[in-house]
Amino acid sequence: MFFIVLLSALTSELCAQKVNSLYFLERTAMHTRMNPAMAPKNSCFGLGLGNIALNIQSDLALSDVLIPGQNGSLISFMHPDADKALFLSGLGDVSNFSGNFNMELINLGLRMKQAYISFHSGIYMDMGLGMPKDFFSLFMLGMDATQPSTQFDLSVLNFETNLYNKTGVGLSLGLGEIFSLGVNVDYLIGLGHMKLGFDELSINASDQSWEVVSKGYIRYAGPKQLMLTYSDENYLNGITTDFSSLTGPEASYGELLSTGKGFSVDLGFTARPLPFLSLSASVTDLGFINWNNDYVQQAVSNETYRFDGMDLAFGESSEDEEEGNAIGDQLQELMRLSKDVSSEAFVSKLTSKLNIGAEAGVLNNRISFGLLSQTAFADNALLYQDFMLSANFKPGSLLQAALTYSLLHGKMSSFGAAINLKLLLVNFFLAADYIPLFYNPQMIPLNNSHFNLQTGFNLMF
Amino acid sequence: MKLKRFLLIYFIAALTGVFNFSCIDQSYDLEQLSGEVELFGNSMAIPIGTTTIYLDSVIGGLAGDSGALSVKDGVYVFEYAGSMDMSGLTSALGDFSLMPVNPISTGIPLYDASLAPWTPFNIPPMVYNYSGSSSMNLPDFSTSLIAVDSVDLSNCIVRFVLRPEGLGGPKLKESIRIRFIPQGSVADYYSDGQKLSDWTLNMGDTLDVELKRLRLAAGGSSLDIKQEVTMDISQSGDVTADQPIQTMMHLEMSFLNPLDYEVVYGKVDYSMNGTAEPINFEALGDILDDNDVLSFYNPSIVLSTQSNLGVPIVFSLDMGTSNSTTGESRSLSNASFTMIPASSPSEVRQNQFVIDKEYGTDELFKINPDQITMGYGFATDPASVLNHFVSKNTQMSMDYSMQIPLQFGSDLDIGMGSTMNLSLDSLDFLDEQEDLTVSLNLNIKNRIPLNLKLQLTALDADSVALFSVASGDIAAAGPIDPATGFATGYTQTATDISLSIAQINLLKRTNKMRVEFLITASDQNSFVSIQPSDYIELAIGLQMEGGFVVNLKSQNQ
Repeated sequence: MFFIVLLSALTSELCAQKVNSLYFLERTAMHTRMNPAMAPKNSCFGLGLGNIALNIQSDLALSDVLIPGQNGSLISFMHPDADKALFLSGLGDVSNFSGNFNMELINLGLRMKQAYISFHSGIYMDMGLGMPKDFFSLFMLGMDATQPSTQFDLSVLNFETNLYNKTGVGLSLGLGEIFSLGVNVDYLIGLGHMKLGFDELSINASDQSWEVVSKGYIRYAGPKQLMLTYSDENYLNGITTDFSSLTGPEASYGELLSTGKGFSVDLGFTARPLPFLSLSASVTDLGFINWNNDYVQQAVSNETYRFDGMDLAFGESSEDEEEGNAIGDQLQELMRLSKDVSSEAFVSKLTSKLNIGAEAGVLNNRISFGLLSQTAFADNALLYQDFMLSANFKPGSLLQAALTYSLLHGKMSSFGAAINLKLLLVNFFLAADYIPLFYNPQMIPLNNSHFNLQTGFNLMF
Repeated sequence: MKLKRFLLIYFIAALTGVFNFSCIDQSYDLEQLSGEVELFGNSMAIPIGTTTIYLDSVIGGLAGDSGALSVKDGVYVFEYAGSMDMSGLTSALGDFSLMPVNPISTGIPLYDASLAPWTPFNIPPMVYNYSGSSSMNLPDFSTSLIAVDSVDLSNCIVRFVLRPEGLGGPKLKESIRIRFIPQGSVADYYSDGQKLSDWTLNMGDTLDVELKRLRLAAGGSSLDIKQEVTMDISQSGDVTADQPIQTMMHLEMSFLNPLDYEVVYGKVDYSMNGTAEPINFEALGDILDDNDVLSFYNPSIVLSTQSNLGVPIVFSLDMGTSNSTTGESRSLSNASFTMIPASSPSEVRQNQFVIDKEYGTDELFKINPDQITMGYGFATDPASVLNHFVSKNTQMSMDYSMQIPLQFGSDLDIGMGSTMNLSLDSLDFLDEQEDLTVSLNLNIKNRIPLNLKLQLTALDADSVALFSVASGDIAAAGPIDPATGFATGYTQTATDISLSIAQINLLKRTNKMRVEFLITASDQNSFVSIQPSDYIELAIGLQMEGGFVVNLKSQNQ
């Protein structure tokens, strides 16, 4: 179960998501991050708790991996009595697990009539893992004993993580009564990046040998205190850390800020062609991080390898434990990733999102209905397309709230909700797009494989 | 305002409903979640590794405390070497000595002057001839050890002294000459290196004659010498009779030194028994089990003798092996030989005898001996027509070399292995297994001309066997060269060793594991030879079937 929990904390599509349910609540302190043209009417200030966002996505929900039995028993999909073939048949070629986290360190916004100027700095962390179906098959079923060998295609195995700081300024400017424009310009400090991917990774396993085709790479950019380690044969065998350079008298943290640099831009536009109708569009996270080659470590593989176990040196004394470790070490090196000394600087692009919204209000706009289209793309490739319907309640400055219904990634739908409160000078907001309707007794969503939450406290004046 | 209040209440109620009134499904209570997970439900095979075992790495380091391992003609040979103690014979022969010979004195009457009217009386000039003989009796030199036929003497000087009685005169010495003529062929006399058939002395002279050989076989028991005396008086007065008596010539004959010999000829009658130091047969260490049949095809013992002894000796080797554990023993049969004597005293004769499987050496090791004993006996052969002599300084040595080529007979049945300590103290997960079977898959390339079988025996802390599992037969290398027994090719065999779930559960009590090769001979030839370049190549894979079950909850506990 730890394995499952761990996987569900990861992400394969690195895109720092905001909770969309907040989109039509324009009084939210963080709203310029979704559309720079949609700024709150008040100045605001947040420190530390200004904005905290957590997003977890998985292709597997709890109800996919747990199977209730009779008499109150509960088994996992790997239990001896579980129908493993059925479970595997429900998997796609790759099962993605992803997660990201964002915390604003400081947020300051100043309302000056039609203009809203903001300064913000925050930490963003994204992680993603793609697990091939054959990976599950390998561990759950193993090999086909009726065949001389069994083929496992693990080519879609991938992993990526990104950690960076975004610091920038924003300007939202009203152009008359109808239009407003906005822009955020951010300076990105890359703190760490790791990516593992393969053009081909396959294992043809038989009892006497495993033939492995490995064509892929792993690339890490980040502080040198984290190091890829290699075996005597120069194959990647692990990761280690050494923080001694940060604890001595000559400790320098400067390199932590030199790993990667980049810029990003958010652009926003709103129009109110009619008093009850608002249209909006924004493009966020148009940017990149250029990772310094001095901080890049890379290992590549491009070979067909026959693993036939270890060399059992007859007659030489050896401890069983050491032999076991030797087998483990060799299995660990199956990917045959060898050190690539010609590591170069590279650019990682942020996942950009195009938001297009329309909101129509009634009762003097105290109740409105909104439709949001969100398109995520990276490297000119479409990642996903979401739609959200929102019923918004805006009785006054004290309260804004929304009930939403999302069509997520074309795979599922879910109800969401958002609330934004302003009590005197304190602004509090809480939102979630995928509110589970079914829980287990430990309050873990049963059918939802997606979960996000965004909240924050700010001073608003 | 009423509308706003209504909407506010409605919205708050809706939000509360969304967040708080969701369903809780008790059937997914994680408290009830089973911790059992099953890995590799169908089967799983993991290559463990490969190894090539050359016999040189196994056998090359073996040697006993007194043995050595070498390669001869491409075949491993264990060799043990030592020597037999022959000091009994040389000591007995060295104690032999010749009895002393008593001196003799004889007289020959010359001119009778008993009626001479006066003295000194001038014996009338003329030539007078007289004769006589002497006989020196020899003792019986034979002993119970040697029936002496003849003797080559060492520095044996016989002194002849002539002395007149009743004679005188200025030319007595020149006038009387005595010729000695040895009688028979009992002895050989030499002077100044020349063999003498006779010799002459004047009156009053002393002569030393070397006696080199005595011949006693033809019944000779004395040294007989005839003396012819010539008294030639040219002028009156040259020789006088000084007393009115029968004048005489006295001869004294004696040996100057104690009688000693260089070589004694004659039949020797001697026998003795002895033992050599036992050999601790530890060459193969403890790799053999008690019940195995260690069938060496043709072990051999090479006996080498060197001696100047001119006596034929019948030698018998009483070699045996014993197993102190089982009490079994084996010994050679009819292992006796005649040592050819030296042809002459100056020769050091070498004899070599090979005792091989014709004498039963191949049976000696079938009991898996841990000790080899070696006794011997020898006796002279008086009936032999060969030479019979004993030199003064008899030397004799006997060395043995036991050579055990690693050539195996068809009934070979041994086990070679070792016991390893295991620390399997975290095997509680075995309790979870229901259908798991584990097997070691073996792909074997065998270049050793022996049939093999790999056997694993699990032992508890008291070394009691818990279970034993074995692979299938691993075919011997082939074909086999019928002349040398060497394998000229290899075979490939695929087999496995399987553990049932019951045996897997017994692993929890396993403290040691004995890994053993059961070895039997190839039936392709009457014998096979193994050589340093022979090898076995193993590719080992681990295969699990039926699923490997782990209880994560118990693991966490």
